[in-house]
Amino acid sequence: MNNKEFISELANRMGYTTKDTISAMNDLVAGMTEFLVDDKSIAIQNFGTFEVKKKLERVVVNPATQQRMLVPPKLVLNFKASTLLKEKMQ
Amino acid sequence: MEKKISIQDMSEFLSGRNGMPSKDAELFVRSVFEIIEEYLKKDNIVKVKGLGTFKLVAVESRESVDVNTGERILLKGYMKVSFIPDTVLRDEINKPFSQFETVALYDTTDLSEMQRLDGERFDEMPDEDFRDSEGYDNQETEAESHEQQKATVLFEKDGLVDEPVLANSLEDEDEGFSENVAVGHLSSEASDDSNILNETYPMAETDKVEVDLSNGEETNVLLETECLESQGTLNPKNETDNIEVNTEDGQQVAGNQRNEFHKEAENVEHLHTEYQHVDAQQVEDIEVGCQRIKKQHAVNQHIDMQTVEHQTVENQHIVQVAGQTSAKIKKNVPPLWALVLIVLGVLLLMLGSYFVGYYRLLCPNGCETVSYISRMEVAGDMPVIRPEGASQVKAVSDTLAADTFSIDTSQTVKVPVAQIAEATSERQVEANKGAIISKTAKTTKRSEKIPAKVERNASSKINTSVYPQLEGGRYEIIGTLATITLKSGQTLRNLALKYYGSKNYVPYIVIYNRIENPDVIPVGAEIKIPELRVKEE
Repeated sequence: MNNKEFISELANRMGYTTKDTISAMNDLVAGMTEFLVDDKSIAIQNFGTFEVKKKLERVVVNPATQQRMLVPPKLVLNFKASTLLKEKMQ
Repeated sequence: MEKKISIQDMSEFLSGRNGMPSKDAELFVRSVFEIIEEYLKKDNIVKVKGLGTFKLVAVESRESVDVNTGERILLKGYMKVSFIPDTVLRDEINKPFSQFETVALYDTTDLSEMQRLDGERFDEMPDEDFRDSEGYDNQETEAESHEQQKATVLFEKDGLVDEPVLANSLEDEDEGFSENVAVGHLSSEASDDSNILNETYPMAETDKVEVDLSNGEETNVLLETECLESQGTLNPKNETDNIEVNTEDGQQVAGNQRNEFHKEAENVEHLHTEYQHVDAQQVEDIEVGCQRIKKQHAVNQHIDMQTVEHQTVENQHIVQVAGQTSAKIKKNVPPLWALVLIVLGVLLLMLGSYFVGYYRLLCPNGCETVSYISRMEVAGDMPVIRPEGASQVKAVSDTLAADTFSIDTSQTVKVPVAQIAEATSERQVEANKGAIISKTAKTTKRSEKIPAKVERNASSKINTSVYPQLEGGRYEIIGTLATITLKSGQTLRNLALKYYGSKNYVPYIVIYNRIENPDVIPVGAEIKIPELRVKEE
């Protein structure tokens, strides 16, 4: 399912126009981004948790060239599915 | 994390932002995740713009061992929900660390130190710069200590310190540095040099006449020549040059003598005072000094001017140092004297550079030798070859000494012998100097060693890998597109935007120019813009 199908399905369910749905969806994503950037986790019941995790820097070795590289630390968005969702997906 | 955001919080935010009723907003948020869930089950993949992609990945069943019982058990396969955030969202979240890039590490980088420092720093302030600037610092510190050592050695040489103890202690210090072959070589040579100097002196002490000849000879003759010159008997054409050279050389010898004569005071005390006298009075008393010297030493010779000049050219630094030392030692030096000395020193330097250029470019004799040496110096060749060059220099100075011998027929045999001995010690000093030159070259080389190494490693493969490549990048660097000088206000982002149309290409510029800290680049720095090509894979 791509974004287009997703939007149309959402518009269909909510009874909004596609345009309205897109703008509402954009606002929602912007809000989520804002929360996540603020280092807050988003927990959605029966779905899962979005959480920003900090990965430490690390040294990796290119097996082909034996070249060692220092990978910088970074912040990544992590999603953890809730147990209910996991069960549903089986 | 300070707080967990729930659906309610999100719908509040949405209604505040979009203006939709809070009930609708909550419904909207709920249905969004419901749809995702529903279609994830149905299609196994849901893409949401701005958020990311949810995927259902099948994990196959596998065997494992029960930790407690040690029995083999079968873990059932299951479906795993994977979420890959959208690039926009990912970059937005990683913004605090976005300036970091993956850095290639080299063998020379001291990792243990770096990790220790990183650990400390990481604990204290997580938003700090974790990159391996420590690694570079280490190298810099090493380079600095190299410099210091070099300075010490230079000082030792200049001061003509004849104590091997100092050289030995220097060697001990050097043992910590594995790459520091040059310095060890140098210091051992320095001790050799001082030994030889020490050997020369006792030889002079044994025979008083010989002392007079070997040490006093040149000064006397030179002062005499000067004397003659001041009286206008010598060829006026050469007058100025010769006076400069002679005076300087005379002072040098006098300075050396003073050091030596302190040890054997009784025999040469009167001579010593006389030289001091000569030094102090300089031009005014020069005639008197000449006459006195004449009186003392019946043996008077015409020294081949060229010999003196060659030696002076070769040892001009030492001459200057010696002159300065003698100036410092004496307390009743009139300022005029020092001024004259400085002027003469400058003129001597000019003369020296003239001769150096003469021998380098025109090479009247021994063309091979000189060009060979100069080539070695230019190329900054290995110090191993250096002693060969030094021995050739020795041959030159020996020939010169031999010339003196053939010309000065009236001289006794001892004189040239003593001169040869002197030339030998000078040659030693020079060899020392040569070693320092090669050492400097080596230091320079060392600083370029790391990039050179990369190039060597890479060039074994394909042509493009001559250039540093960005690991994991979509493009490879195949050449230089343009070279620009950084002006005030220009940034790497600007440049990337200008040449590639996007600031995402900054890493290529950084990698290609080997910029250590992309945040601080001095105005006027030359930035090479790499030419990019999509990687073939």
